[in-house]
Amino acid sequence: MLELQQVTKRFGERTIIEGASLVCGHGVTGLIAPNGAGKTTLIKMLATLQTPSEGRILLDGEDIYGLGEAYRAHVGYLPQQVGVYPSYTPRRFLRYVAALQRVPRRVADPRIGELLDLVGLAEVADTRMRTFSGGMIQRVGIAQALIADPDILLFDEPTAGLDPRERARFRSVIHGLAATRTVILSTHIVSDIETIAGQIVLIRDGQVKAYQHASELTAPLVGRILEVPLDAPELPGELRLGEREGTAGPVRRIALPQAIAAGELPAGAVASAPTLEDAFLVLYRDAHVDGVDASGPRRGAPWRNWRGFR
Amino acid sequence: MREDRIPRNGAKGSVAARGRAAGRRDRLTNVPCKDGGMVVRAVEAQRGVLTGGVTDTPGTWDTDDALAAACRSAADAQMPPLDAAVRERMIREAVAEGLGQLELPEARLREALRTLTPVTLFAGVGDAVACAVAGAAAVFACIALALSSASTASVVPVAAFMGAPVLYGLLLSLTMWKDARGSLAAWRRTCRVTVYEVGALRMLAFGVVSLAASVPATGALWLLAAGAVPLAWLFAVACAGLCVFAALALASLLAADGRGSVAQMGAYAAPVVLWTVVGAVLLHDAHGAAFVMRVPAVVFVVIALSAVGCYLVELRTFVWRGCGGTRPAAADV
Repeated sequence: MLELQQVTKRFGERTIIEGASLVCGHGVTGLIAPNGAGKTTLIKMLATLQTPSEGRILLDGEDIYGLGEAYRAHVGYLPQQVGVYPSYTPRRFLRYVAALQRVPRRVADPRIGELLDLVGLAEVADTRMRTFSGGMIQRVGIAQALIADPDILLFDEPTAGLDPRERARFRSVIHGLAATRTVILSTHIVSDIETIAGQIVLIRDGQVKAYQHASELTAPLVGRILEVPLDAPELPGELRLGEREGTAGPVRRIALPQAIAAGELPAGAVASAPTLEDAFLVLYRDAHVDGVDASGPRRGAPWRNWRGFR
Repeated sequence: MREDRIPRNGAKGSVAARGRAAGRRDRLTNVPCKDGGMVVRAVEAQRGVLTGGVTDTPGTWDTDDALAAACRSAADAQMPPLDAAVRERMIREAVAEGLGQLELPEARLREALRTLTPVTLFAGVGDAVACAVAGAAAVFACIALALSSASTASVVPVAAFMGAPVLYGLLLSLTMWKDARGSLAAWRRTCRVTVYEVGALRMLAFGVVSLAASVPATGALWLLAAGAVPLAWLFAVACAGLCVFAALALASLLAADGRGSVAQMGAYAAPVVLWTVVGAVLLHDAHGAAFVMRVPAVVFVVIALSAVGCYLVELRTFVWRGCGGTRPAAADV
């Protein structure tokens, strides 16, 4: 079990993570926040690439920085930017990784075959990676993180560059692995973790908060999410979450400060079940999220005390 | 399987096989005894010797001595009579394994050497090695050209001393630069075989190769000097230069380790700059060159051996840096 105890990370005067306390057991912990919020910093601290300014990170009660190789033996890490040697083939590269992870050759060779099959690269196992797309390189990175059969998997934005089919496959693989492993997955793509994460961790303004299920985030939004015609008048306190093409024309998805009864819906408005993405956009309404400015027309009291961040 | 708690330096700790001995999973197991106690075995795979101690009935031990005593009494009761020295060694090793002492750098290097093939050891830096070799050859050619048209008797020893580390310096600096710029630099720090171990093995390989290359290079310089100086003396001078530079370069790396990129660039540059300045002074100062000529070979041999001793101590420290918990505040990646 991984545990963070009052972990703080500062770079000079800037505090990235402050007083984070978190417990990660078996299963998937989804770490979600906008770009620049500190997800990668947190993952790097768990991977011992960065040291906390304050606090401790423990594995089964032992400080991970004191354990050294004994900790690294349990960790598989996929960095945000996957590096490979372009002149290498996937098979050769994974053999190299296996050697660095002290996996015996007799164990590594069959495992490499299984992993390449798992990530869908079996057919190009002996093709030089200089011809690979970004998504293929990412899949090689996923395979290298699994080569030593680690107990702890740290994935930093693992689905970047993957197409929808590959992302769905990745989610299935991770969900299967997480039954007996601790998987910590950082992403700013909500759908990556919506269906597989048991614990969801949000980072905002350096504060780290864990939710044991997505419903803890979506429940307060029940009755507050509407889809209204795009050209409909703006409702008081509405927060625009996005636009889409509805069956009867373009609509905008909005969140209201208060729940609204079914009989009191404005004309043309349709109530919608809140999603994790809605909760994310509401929580980070002041941040520029994935190209969408989620700040509402009025920032004030109706939102300030919303559950989770005060 | 019950888990005993054995204190380390007064603090509570565990001896679960999954714990800090994970790096030696094949050498430490906890298995239950018929009587419900625990057997802690430290297996020395290399020598095929089964060592270890046997605990008595489940309990806790407040001190290392108490654990050792428990092991002794249980060993006496259950294991065949052993030579006293062997038994004490077995108990020490069992206690050390249980308390999770870090492996010595020498052991880590030996294990890394077994794990890594030459291809793996130099993965990603093949082009840097090739450039270094080409660069060293070019430098040597320039030196030879310069000496062939100069009064060489006093200059050749200085050239041998200053030129011997060129190949080593280029190999070290270009491969480290390539590694630092590579896209795998950060990820490699999460591997079980540390970047320090890989770096140390590379440095040893570079040293051996440079020493071997210095033989024909020194011979060529001796020919250029038309045999004005003894070949063995000239070789001693070259060895001393190589060993001193290697020790200096590694000391510089250790000083810069864990600091920012500017400090690390300075670490790469400092030995080269210092060496260049010293060489320039010796070459331009006739007294300096003459002084070098008067130093007997045995002095250079002593210098070389001392430098090798320093180098090995530094190398040990370098590898130790990568061991659990002993690194200084490393520069975050």
